[in-house]
Amino acid sequence: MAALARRAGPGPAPLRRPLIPASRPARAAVGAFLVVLVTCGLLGLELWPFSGFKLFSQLRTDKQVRWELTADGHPVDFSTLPRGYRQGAHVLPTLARGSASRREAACQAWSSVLTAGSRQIWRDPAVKTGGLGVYRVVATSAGPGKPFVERERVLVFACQEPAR
Amino acid sequence: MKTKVAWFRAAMAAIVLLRIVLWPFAQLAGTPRALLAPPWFLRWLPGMPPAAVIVAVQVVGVAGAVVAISRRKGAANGFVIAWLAFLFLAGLKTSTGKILHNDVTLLLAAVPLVLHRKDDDDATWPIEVAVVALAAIYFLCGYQKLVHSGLAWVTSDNMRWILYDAAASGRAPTAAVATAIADTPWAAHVTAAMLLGLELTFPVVVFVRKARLPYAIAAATLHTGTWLTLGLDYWSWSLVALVVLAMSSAILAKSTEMKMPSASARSSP
Repeated sequence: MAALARRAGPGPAPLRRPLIPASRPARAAVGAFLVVLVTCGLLGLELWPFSGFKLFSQLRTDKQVRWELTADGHPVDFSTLPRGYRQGAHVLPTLARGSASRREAACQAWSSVLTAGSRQIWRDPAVKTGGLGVYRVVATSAGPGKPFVERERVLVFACQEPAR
Repeated sequence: MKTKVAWFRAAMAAIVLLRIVLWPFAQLAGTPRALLAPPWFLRWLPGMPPAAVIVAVQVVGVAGAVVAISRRKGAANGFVIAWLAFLFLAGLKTSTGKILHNDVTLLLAAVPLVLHRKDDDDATWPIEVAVVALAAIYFLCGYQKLVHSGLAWVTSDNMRWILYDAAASGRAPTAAVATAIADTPWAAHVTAAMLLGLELTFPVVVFVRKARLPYAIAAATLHTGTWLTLGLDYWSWSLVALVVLAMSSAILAKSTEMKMPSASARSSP
């Protein structure tokens, strides 16, 4: 802004177009906009569309932590679900910290969408296996390009089978 | 109406229009509230709106963008309507769990045009402020990499891990490019260094007008590379960089040529 103001001020180029807004409210609005943009970016605050711009900022290493939703023991591929569900892996950590009622609502949503996809997720109750579970998985690799091997798998929460 | 700001508004409106039309926003309808993490200005929503509402917002947004592109009377208001519609739609998209940056640059670089409500005048500040916003965005992307990872972002195997992971994901149109770079450690380091260098030096475009076109081309190349290697949809960043930097460079230089008196004229009494 300082540079813009300097170029717009009285000086050797009086016929140049103003590079800052002429009216005081517009100047204040532009100033506020740039201050919020830069402050969020510097402090890493997420006030979308203002952003902390942490794109790929975390260092990738030989250790990988990921969150997984499993249905009947198999990882759910979120990319095969309806569009609104596809970023589901990013919701899992939030749900893990969230209230029981929100988890239950999420479980019902997954249950219905997976069942709608003709997928069996609730086995015979007598077997006592299957269902939906959210896991935090830690995996390591021997080096770039080598496969990741699972080292730790923690069940964060499990979904109760809905009443039939 | 053929002022510089009107042309700039028309070009930005065209990108907004493409973003509104090309993404299937209506497919978000029906996503349950429990799976949503809306941005601050959409937290009042009880859930994802029905498809009819989303389509209606798209139609309104397209109409606003068309008026802005026409550069006729009402173009400034048309742009504001298109921008608000797009903000709402992109906000819905980023509500599904992950903070999405695909549309952030377009939304933020367009803010000066939202604040400039005159259809047609001589002002060039919306273009200059857009240049400042764009430079800040790219710089901050690089800054956050340094904050969280330091120079190890370049010197470690970071880029190789990113590329191998992307190649395995199958998102990119081909895994060959990502794998070729990742298989060659020095190429991965050079790629990381060039990317970080571009981001951190981006504010040059604010002060050196001649740097704008090269930086626009470099940004477009970066995002094309991101698509080829990682399969990420950042074409709107490319278009915004090209429109803001290339157009500002061209039309402001022309403006200066036309409006600046010659040295001899200035020195004459």
